[in-house]
Amino acid sequence: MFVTQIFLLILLLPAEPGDDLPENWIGAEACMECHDDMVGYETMPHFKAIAHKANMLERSCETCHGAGFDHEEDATLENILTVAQKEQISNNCRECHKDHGRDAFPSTEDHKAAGVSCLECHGSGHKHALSEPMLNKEQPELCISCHREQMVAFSMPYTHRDGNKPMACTSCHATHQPGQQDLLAAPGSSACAECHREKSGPFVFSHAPREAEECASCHSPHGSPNPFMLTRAQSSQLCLECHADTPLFHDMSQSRFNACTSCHSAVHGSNTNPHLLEE
Amino acid sequence: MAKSVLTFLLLVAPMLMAQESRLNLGYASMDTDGEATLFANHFGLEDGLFLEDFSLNLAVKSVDLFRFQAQGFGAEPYQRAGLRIERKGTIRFNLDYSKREHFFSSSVYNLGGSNGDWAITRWKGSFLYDGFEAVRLKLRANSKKRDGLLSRPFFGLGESYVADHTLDESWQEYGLMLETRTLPVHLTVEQLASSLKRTWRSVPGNDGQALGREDEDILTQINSPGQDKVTSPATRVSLDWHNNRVEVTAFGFWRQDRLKTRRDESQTYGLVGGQVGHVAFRNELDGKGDGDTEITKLAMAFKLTPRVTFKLAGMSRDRSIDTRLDGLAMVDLIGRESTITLEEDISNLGTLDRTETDLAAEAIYSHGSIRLRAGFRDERRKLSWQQSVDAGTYSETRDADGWNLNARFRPNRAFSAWLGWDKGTFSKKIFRTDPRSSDRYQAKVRWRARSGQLEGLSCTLQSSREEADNRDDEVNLKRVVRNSGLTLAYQNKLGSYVSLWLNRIDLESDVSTLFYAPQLQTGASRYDSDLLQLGARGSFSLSERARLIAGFSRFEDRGDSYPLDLNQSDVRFEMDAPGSFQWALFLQNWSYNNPVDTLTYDVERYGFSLGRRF
Repeated sequence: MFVTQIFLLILLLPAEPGDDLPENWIGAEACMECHDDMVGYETMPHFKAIAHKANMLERSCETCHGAGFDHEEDATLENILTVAQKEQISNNCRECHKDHGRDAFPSTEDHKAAGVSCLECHGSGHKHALSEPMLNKEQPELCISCHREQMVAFSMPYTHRDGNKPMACTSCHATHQPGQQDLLAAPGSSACAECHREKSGPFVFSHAPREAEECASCHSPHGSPNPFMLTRAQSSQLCLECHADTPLFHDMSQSRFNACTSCHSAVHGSNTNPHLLEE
Repeated sequence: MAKSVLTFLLLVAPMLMAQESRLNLGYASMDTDGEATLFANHFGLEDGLFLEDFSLNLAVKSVDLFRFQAQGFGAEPYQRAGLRIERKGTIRFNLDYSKREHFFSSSVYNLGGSNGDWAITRWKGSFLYDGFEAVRLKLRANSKKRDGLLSRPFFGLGESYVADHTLDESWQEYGLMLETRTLPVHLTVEQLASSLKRTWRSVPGNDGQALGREDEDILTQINSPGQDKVTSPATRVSLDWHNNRVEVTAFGFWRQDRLKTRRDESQTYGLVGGQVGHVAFRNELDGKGDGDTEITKLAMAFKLTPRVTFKLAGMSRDRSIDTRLDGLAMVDLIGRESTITLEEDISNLGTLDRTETDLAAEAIYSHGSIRLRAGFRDERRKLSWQQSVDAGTYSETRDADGWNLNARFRPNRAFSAWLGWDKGTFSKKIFRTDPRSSDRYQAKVRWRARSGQLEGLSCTLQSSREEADNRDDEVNLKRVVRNSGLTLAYQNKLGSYVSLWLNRIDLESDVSTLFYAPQLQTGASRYDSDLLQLGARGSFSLSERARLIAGFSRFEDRGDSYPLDLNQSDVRFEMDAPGSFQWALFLQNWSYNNPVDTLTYDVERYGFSLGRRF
């Protein structure tokens, strides 16, 4: 422990504490005089990430916790930001993460609007994170701790699953990217097309709902009790809710006409047949 | 092959100059009762040797990070590996490989002869250069290949027949991204180019027999050297700017899809098993299509006072597709001594245009323990399409508006309560299942007695109700989704945790239907799904060297439409051994019961893993 503190202090020395610090800042060295429980911080990913930047070591404490002058004078929790003030402390994350492109702009994010702060998902950096990038838990446990409906969906027989585990949420969702509905990584069904590109068209003869309503009009992307993650148990039921004008020769009393995809197999679109009879 | 590679890794990896690295290999055996193909479809796990986890961090001069990670090779359906090289503030290089195996057999379902045994293999590479002060540069290349077998039905000689396709699909995408760093406005520009190629190689499936019926006409041959190609250049631009009171983001996306397709295909049928001759359907077709996508969005947030934020957002999405198909369709009537060929010129087209605009405004009031949000949306969707020259043109415009109100009460760090209401009204339906009105009510209560950021006890209770309907004179749609759940979790400072959960989602949907044959008949399509999920999971430190990780979950659909249940459980005992070794024993169980299709399986998978940290 002592050796670690010495090491940390040596790292801080070249920063010349006190120089160029904002008003009411005291520098990390001053913080360490009391907070000797911060041993090991220099081995943590957050520290390593800033170690190469000039003057950052000295500023590392107050960049997150706010100016420390008042706290140094009166060491109470009222005059320093702690993990309890997640939203305020998360605002300080942007001081460094403003050049992370979309990460820096939470204003239009659904998460930010709902009051979800950085520290709800990410660790402070004082300890080893359980998952990258400094997440408090691994996916999907982290996400489903709030999104409970998705947790139910991922336990269903048909779901996006890697063996026995749900696929990582960030396979489809970009949590910091503004602009996309449901925080999808790409607009609409383009997120699905990252893997299922062959189903995204264009086709010579489109299936209009796939173009208009997109994949989720027929599929439940988080999981379904039904084969192919369909929203209905029988494909005929799914089709006939829209296709009420089946031609007269479709005698619905015969079972063969209740298995729509036996003939109309090109449900995503066809390059040869307008009735989607083959791809 | 996989075994050889894995054994090599176990022996050689520790010899490398590694730091904070680990290698875990596992071996699993499986006992399966019931529908093994269905289990393969649901989970895809197999028995044998597999790579549980491999992480290699090498100390390489002049870079800060050199990490190779791999998981899942061997008896796992999902394999992945990744190389990451990083020099802080200068370069970041990522190369990822993944392979997902998919299996589906419709022999257990009445799904029209669809079977699949194929895999998606992906390579994703990116190189980020962070050394310029003004801009950040990122290059990326993605490649995807789908290969394997796919059996699909198609409408042949008056009946459904099956074709077995050998898949050969590949997709490549390349991108160049520039991102400003020092300008007041943060601008990101990305240019993408992608290409999809699909080639069909088909043979008659189901022994040439018609699907599900006895028919004397046999599918004897398929020739299908068809190829589809789609090239798609795309541009993505995003712009962000903010100061202490205002934040502005803008986003634009443009893509041009160019489709070219060629079909030189034929299907030959033996009439009465070929005794009275053959008939062949031949196509020589060229198709093309132009698809254009435009998405633009502007979002702004203003901090009017320290307590009030006002947000505005507008979005426009356009998608248009124009396609043509030209060529020749021929029918050969092949007798014993002569062949008669009938020809028809094909000249067909299709169009689809979708235009959507969306305006949204939201006010957020935040003061102390209270946070209130109120929002309004106004949307318009115009959709028109013509499926073919013989079909009429369909065009419809649908206007929508909606409100949302949300309130959060968080008097202290331990307790928070959240209430929400969303309402939408729509001028008309475009598709029969489109609602004319929708409402969603949500409530969530969370209580956390935590001593640290994660440690302590937490309890979450949530409930929601969603309703959507349209009018009796339309299709009398009525859809209700009720959701409720309870979660309890506890974690101590050592990282041991236990969580319990109980969730229920009840979905009922009614849509009026109308069938002309065999007689004009009205009815209702009713889907009733009553999902219950309960489970528990925990990780316990038995001593400084031993851990027990166990979980159980039960999923049950008690609705009328498709009742089934799926139970999953697993237990794993881990032990640290001298020499940085670690060993583990594991047991996993899945049981599935579907009384509608009389499908069941009961699978036990058990084995051990051996690992080492180095």
